[in-house]
Amino acid sequence: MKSIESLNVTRGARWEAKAAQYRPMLRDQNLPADFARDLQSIFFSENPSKFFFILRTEHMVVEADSNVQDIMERLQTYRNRLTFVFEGYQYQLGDFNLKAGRAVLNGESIRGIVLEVEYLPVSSIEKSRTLLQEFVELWQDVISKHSLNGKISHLEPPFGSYLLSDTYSWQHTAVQYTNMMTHFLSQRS
Amino acid sequence: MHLMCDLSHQEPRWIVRHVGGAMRGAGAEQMPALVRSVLNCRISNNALRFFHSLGYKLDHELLQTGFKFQFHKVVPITVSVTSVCKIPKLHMIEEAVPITPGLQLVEVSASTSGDNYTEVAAAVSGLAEQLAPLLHLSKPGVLTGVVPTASAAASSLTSRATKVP
Repeated sequence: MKSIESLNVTRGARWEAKAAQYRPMLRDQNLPADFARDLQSIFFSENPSKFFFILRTEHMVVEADSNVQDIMERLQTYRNRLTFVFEGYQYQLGDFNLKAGRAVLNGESIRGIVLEVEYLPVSSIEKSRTLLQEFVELWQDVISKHSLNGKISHLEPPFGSYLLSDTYSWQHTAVQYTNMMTHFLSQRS
Repeated sequence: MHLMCDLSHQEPRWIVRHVGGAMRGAGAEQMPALVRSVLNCRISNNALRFFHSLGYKLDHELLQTGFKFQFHKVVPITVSVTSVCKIPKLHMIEEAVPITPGLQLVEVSASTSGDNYTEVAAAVSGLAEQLAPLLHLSKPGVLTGVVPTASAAASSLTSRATKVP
């Protein structure tokens, strides 16, 4: 964020995304379990009317109204195992929208820094791919020039396996952030 | 839990509905209408596969066609008049067969908050009385005064019409 603000970029609103991982609530441990064990969810503060579920093994993303959380609570089939909060500030840099922030596990440990880059004029993932890669490489130079530690690692989102279209949507964002959560969890703290 | 697909639009729209248990106690028995919690939520069209992956099994599948009317009496009240059909083969709505040929299901419902359900139940009951010359409406589970054919039809509708292995 220091590198972004050093370019006199105007800081915008705060943003927050809350991701969760669930475990099934087994009433009878002896019964064979024929249900998903990798249920994840994500909620974005900028899109408060929607809630997203991800089933990673099934490569499925489900979009629902945000009151689906009340239904899941009443069904009592899955329990929240852990929560990741991604939070920070938004910045506008020409046609690019940047979101920089930190990823915090269970409200306690910071597991990483996230940088989301959005190119506003184009919503085609393929058409904007090269441009976004170049932008990120440029940003890595900025970080190096300011003698800041750290390297930007691009996490390739598995859109193809989720059969998502080339036009970017909130479902794509849901897959990206839950993919990031899985990535952070797989790393040692 | 119910998964409903609205087929009246060009693109099917899915809704997941959770129906809670009926309100219990002496007060509930005195109430002229059934009071229970109902949560409706729009969901993407992979809902069926999603809930199946979460371990839910399809219990029965029905096709309901008909009309909805909106009245305003204290609160907005919905009256739906529908034919309910069972679907012999999974998802084959073209082969749907009416459960009670010649008879339709009339449901009167209204949304209420936690503090005005008595008023709303009275309004629903009041509308039911106004419709009495045309049809007999009874609180679900209470069949007193219902003619035999309608009673059998109601029992048939509330029983599990189709079970899918």
